[in-house]
Amino acid sequence: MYQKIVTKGSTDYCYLKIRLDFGKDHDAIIDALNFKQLILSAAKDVFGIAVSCSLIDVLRYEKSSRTAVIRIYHKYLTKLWSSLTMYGNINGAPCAFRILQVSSHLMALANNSRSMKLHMVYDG
Amino acid sequence: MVRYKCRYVLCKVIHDDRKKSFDESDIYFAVRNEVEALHGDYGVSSMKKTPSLSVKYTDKESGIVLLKCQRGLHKLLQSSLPFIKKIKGVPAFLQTIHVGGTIRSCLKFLITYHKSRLSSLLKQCTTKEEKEKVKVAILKCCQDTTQMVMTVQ
Repeated sequence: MYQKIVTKGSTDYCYLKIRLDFGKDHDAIIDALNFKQLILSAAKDVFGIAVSCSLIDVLRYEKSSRTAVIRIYHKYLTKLWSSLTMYGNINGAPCAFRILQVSSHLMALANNSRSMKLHMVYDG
Repeated sequence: MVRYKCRYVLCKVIHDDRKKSFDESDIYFAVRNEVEALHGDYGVSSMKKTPSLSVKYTDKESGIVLLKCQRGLHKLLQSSLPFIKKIKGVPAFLQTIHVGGTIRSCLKFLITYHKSRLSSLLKQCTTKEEKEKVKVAILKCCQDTTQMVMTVQ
């Protein structure tokens, strides 16, 4: 059974599912620590220490696809989002953060309607 | 036409070496570098918006500095002022005395500030010569600022 959650106003935290993409002919092995370091440096470049010192948690990281679920304060969502968008270079290798999903509930990231596949059963 | 609204932050430079004095560009770069560290590229570039960050007035004898910035961004400036630890390589920091909307109001406050400090400074003096020196110095500061208030008017 499912549970309906109603929140008034915004919740404290915000969850993002992000992926790090590299340009053509470029590849690098990035572990969870490096990944967080990249997010911090992206925030520090654009918005300085004031934003990069805010809470940024990497909840889950998948090394093979460089996909991570991060938790941040809702207050800093726009600032972090924009600084991730502006980030585009790791030691000379072009890269980009792709924001796959954004939600104020972690449960909402369990499913992605965009990647949903419908199995049609032809009953002829 | 709508005029650009500004905020003026009146600060006092506190440092050990009394003989050392800072000029406007020293103060400007110290503030700018701190804004860059604390608020990044966003902070620096928003400070460059038309009523841009600038040092309007420095008083070398009393170490008073008047900073100008855009009205909406004064919190950005004020938040980074306490983090300044060095100016031109010399350990020094800025103490905010007053925040005002016009240069005139800031200078008016400065005169009352100098006057209020007179009694406490005179108490510290031991000889008559020192007392005279303090009197002359403060009178000079007040006269300079009064003159500036008249010209700004």
